[in-house]
Amino acid sequence: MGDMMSTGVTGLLAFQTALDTISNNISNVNTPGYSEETANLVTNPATPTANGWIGQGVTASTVTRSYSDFLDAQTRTATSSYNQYNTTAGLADNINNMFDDPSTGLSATLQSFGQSIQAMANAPGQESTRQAVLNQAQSVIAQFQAYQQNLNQLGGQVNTQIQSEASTISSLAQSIAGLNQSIMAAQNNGSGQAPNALLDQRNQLIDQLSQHISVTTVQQSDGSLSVFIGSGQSLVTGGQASTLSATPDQFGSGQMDISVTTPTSTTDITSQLSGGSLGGLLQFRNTMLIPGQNALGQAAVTLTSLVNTQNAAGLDENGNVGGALLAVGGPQVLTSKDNAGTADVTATVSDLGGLTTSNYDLEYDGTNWNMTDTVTGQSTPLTASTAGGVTTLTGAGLTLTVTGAAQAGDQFLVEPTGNAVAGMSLLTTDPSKIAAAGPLVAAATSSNTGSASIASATVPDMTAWTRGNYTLSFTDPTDYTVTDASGNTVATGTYTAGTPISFNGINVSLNGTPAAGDSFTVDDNAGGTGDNSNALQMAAILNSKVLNGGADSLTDAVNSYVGSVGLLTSQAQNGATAQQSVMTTAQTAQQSVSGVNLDQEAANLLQFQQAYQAAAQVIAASQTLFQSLITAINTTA
Amino acid sequence: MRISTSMLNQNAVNSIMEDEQQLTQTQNQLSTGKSVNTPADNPVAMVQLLQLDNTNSQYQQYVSNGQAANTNLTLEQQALTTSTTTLQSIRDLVVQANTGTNSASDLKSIATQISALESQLQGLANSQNAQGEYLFAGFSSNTQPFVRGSSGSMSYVGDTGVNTVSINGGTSVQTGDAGSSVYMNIPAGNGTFSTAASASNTGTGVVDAGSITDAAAWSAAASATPAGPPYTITFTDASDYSVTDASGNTVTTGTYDSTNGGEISFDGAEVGITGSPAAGDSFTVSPAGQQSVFDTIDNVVNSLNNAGSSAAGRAQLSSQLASALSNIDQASDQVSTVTSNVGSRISLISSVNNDLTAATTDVTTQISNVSDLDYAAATAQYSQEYIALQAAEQSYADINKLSLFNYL
Repeated sequence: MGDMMSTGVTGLLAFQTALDTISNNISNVNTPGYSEETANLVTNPATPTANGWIGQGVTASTVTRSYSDFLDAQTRTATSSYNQYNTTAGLADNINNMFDDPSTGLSATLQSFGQSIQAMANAPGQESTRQAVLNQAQSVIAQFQAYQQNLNQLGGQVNTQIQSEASTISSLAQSIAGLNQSIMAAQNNGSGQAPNALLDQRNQLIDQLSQHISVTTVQQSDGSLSVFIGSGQSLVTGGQASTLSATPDQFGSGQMDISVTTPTSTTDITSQLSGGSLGGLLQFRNTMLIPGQNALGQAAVTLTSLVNTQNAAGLDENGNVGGALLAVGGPQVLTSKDNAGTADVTATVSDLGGLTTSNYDLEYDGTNWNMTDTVTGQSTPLTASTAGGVTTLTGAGLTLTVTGAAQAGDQFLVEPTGNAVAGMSLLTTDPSKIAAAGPLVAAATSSNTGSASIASATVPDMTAWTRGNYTLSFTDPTDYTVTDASGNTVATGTYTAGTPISFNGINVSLNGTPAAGDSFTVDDNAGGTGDNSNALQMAAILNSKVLNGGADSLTDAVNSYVGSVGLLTSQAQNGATAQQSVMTTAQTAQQSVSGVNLDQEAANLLQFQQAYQAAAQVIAASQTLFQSLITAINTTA
Repeated sequence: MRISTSMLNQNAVNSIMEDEQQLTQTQNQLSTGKSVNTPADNPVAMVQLLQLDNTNSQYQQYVSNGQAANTNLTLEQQALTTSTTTLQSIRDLVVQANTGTNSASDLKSIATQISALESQLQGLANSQNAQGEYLFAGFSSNTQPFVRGSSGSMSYVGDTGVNTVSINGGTSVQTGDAGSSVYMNIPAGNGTFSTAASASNTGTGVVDAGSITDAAAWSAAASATPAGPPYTITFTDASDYSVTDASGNTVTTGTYDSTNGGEISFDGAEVGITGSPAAGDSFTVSPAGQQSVFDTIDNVVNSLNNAGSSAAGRAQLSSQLASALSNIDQASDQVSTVTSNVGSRISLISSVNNDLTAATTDVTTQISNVSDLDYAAATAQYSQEYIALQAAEQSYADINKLSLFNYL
């Protein structure tokens, strides 16, 4: 009986623990990160008697937590991936929506500008068509600047979000370190039982961390979990947490970089971070934000250069050589605040076809200058020459001038086109300043007997041109004399078919053969307000292939930029969708091991309720038996 | 596989969210009517659209270029056609003056009429477009091209520039002609040589404009050193003549019958003389230079106003008027040539315009194919997604009611 009662009591106690566990499970069915707990029932060691081994009942030895490290890690990887794509897609959508209407975007505005120049070419003497060109130029500038402003705002948003991500990650790391300490203490307090709730909490925090950044974890033998980020930087070791901070970069460009601070050192780890929403922010900045600003800048620089160069090749309505119509911001070179030397670098655009949409790191290694792409790290070839203490470097479409003394390890950030749109403006509001006319008007004298006619009369370099009216006379088919308006001889020479005749900065090419006595007039076109030849050339610049080594026109470049925006956005969106289903699958797998199923708990509840009632009955039965024994003894005494 | 309760709910909610998102996207497409709303919807199609838009606006630009050129060319054509009519009227008056029955006052009144027509011609040569720019001034379109200088003769102060516009791809047309190539620089005489009667002639011989019978012989003589032309036909008496070249060498001699007139041929040229030349009368045959039509008309007016009334004077007048007629014919030819050039430019613009209309239709169709929504497919898709969302929501509500706790 005694055995019966004590065995029954062990049952009661064990089932009580089981029911406690079930009740805990049901209460925590919706708690995120909770792992289902099971009470482990173990039979007590039996006592040997003469009649056999008598069992001593049951004990709830421990409460086990159902979890799988592998599935946990798998879920975290998927979560990091998904969050990276999702963050990038969300930010990319902002840029994507800037280009949602092909009839009003940058491409359309540039087309309108080109058309206004064509309209001016149809009627160059009219004020209204010239004014329209200036108005359209203003629209183009406004459009560029609107886009640039959007991108700048996104840049500011990215910086703010990076700061908040860094502080979130740091505080999560602190909490994990705190939990590490509690778990170590709990495991060493002698009870030998695992602190399930604390373990669940720590897991939950690491899951949250993986949303922000990719992490790897290593379980230590003392119960703590070490957390690593990036390419192996330690975030949490035992009870120590490092801090992640966002600081302005060394060049003062306004960009935020991430560094990790341990008790012993601070290291910049921006380029090694990936995964999670922080990785998404960095990826967006590197693949869409900076290239986007640079692509717009490249287009602005190209447009300005083409328009100004063409305007300077003609005469405006007042008969003057055309000047610059547009201004644009030049390349920017920022000096690192950690530089030991005193060198200063400035840059100008020297080759339109060599401009790219990348920013560059310019570094001096003590003897040579090296330039690498800030995102890919790819090296760009530089040609260097030194004269009089000034070093000139040429590469990536730029000419860089280095003055002062640089020391080994000095770094500079080169932004070829990022600053272009901010400095874009219309230099004149006077429509007569547009150079629609060509510099010369040339013709064969009508009484010529030879078969020669003017093929072209050009001024290759306006600065070398001596303006005036000239007559080109042939004393015989191969000898010519050039006289000016006063009759003075300016040039003589022999003429070979196919070679231009050059004098005073003018090149004249002839078709056919001149006869003796033939002459040609090559006059200054100063009064030629009806001439549209320069305007025709200006209208063609939007489609002339000057970019990327002569492969693309300005229109091509703008269109392919819009295409790349669409491509990157849809890649991010597709990636997010794909990763979401991967994440869901991983979560489902993990939940199948660790999740609470209410129906299962209900069934278990029934089971242990019944078992408890049965055990209670056993105790009641043993008491009845004892009562019978006492009654029997009392009756005989 | 074991399903946890929270996962059950989470999965169901996720499905509903996805269905809603797809439904919203389809709804957006239906309301905008476009299958490509942002570059991310279809990056390749978006770039294609931008390029097609570019092509389309280029075509429209070509059409408007053609229209602008057409306006200019039509104005020019009108001026030229009226010029031809005016020249014809002048010619008729010259013929009338040459009939031989006119008195001095008749001739003077004809001269006055011709002067009036010349002013009209000058006005046509100085035609302006609607913006006040001169059509025939070359590039100097703000300066009147034909002005009478202090010497009294008409000069051209414009330049030789002509504008072109691009009306399609590599096709350009000139939008005008310089005044010098229309009204100036007209070949004189018969195009190769011009004839004149000496002012001191006393006979009644009249020389016509002449013609070239052997072009090779003429150009051989013209390029010989010393050159043959100019030639002089001298009548030693009323029926004998000799032809001498520039150096005075006799080229040919011959006899002349004053009752029938006759042709004198030498070095590939043939010149006709009528009437009765006196001894010592001479006629010159010189290589044709160039003359502006205004100078020609000025000379006619001059001749008519200063015509002598004697037989010799009238013969002189006849020779001058004959020469003038051939000059006027040359001028009419030149104006006609330019007119027909202008006409063919106008019809080129018209035919290119037809091509552009067809090309524009093609491009618009392509744009429509790429970007327009297929409403039938989209509506079907919408119905499907609607049903899917409905089913997801309903099944979630149903499944949630099932629980073992209901039966405890």
